[in-house]
Amino acid sequence: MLNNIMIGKYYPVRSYVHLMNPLSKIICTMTFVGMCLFANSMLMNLCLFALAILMIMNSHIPVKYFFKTIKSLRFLLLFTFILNLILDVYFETTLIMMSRLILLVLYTSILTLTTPPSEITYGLEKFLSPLKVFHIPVNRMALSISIALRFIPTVLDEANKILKSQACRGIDYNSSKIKDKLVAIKALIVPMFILTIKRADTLADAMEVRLFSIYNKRTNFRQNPWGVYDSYMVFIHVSLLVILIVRSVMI
Amino acid sequence: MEIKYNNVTYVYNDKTPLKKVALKNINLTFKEGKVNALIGTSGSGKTTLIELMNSLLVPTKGEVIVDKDVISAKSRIKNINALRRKVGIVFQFPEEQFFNLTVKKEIEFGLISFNYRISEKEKRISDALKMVGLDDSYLERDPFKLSNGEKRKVAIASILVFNPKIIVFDEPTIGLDYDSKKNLIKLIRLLKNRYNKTIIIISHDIDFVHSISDYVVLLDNGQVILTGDKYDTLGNPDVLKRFNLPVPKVIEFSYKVLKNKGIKMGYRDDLNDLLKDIYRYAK
Repeated sequence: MLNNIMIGKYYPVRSYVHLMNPLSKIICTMTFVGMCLFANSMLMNLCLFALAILMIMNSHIPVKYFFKTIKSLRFLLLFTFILNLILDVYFETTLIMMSRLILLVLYTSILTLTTPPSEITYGLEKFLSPLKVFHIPVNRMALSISIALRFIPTVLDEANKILKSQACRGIDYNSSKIKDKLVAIKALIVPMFILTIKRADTLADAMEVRLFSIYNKRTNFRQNPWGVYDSYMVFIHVSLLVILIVRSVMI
Repeated sequence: MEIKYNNVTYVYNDKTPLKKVALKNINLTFKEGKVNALIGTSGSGKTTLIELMNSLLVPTKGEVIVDKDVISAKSRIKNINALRRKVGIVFQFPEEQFFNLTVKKEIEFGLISFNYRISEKEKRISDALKMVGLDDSYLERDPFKLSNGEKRKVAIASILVFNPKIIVFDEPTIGLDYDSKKNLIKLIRLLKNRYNKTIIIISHDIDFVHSISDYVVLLDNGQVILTGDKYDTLGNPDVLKRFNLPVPKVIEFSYKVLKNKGIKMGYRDDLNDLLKDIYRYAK
């Protein structure tokens, strides 16, 4: 029932993007976010779309998955459009805003679809590791993120069970009217909170009985070597970001 | 009311690398007005099979016929709620699927969504609770704070309340104590004998299945391996062992007595009946 939600889903195929080091993928994603902020013309945004499409083609993931992601944004896009219309914002600015939203979601979904959640955590830990110098608890942050990511499919699974239970009793999320959909979603909130807290409690107990400590030194299950392709992609992304920053400063 | 599967195949995540064939060319008819049991190892496709029955899933190939409704990828059911009113499913761990803050709201949810007349509502809720062995004092209680057995009973009541013709129980005995299990058996017998319901049970508890079922379907790896009345299926320990399924204790005992002592015992559903026979024999 919630099969259309692509958040946190990993699509296992063999591609250059899948084989990239998680750290390089995170650096590319972060620089892409930066590029979106500095791309202040429609032409620039189109260039960013071209870059995103290039990455999608290299990832060997069917395009329909990305369309599904964009489809889930439709209400937010509509809301942005209407709000800009009311505030009398220039049409081009509205378009740039909307394309920025699409680009951000599109590119982050490349990261999640091509990287297993555990590897994203590894990448984040490495990405944030310079902050250790300032005594920022990077391990703890990475653990929280990894648990949050690991819980997305579980929570969706629980939500699916409740939606099925509702469907059996006359409210079908997929085929009902908007009013019924709202009833179904409203009824989801309370049990989801209760179940998530219960799960978190059980997980904490399970970690504690296995003597988990955040301060223990850990090794990674996978090797994640840094390849030529990683350096190449990071170089392209960082260069593009620098060009965009210089261009916006010059203007 | 007929429940028929014609060449049904179901594939999860079809056309993706995560593709998993859950059911392969299933041809099956459940017996009307009887207790049908679906047995098989974990992952054999039992839950998928029942979810196809009220269109929670749509077959990838083939069709499922429930009464006059045809569920298939080609045709869309016009009135899905009418179908779901006929087939009530009590899911595995139904207590994890509560979404209301009082027992009353939980039970009346189906009545309201299926547009039952308001005058009937209170009585129906009360009757459903009585059938599962609870009284009206539970109505205003928080379902999340009940014991496991009580939660299970409320979940069953929330299905019984809209009086479906077919009732499906997915692993109903998990987490139930001996007394609750006995009460569940009584309830299922009542539903079958007095209210003429068609019951479908999925369970790994082979003794429970043996004591209650009339007709058994054995699934393995998404395929129907064996169908027949329980004497032919559960009474055959060799077949059950071949598919890594436990043998009902009563059957195992009779089988061992026959094998070791050459004494052929009559077929007994219940361990107590078998013990009575043994005492009679010993005297």
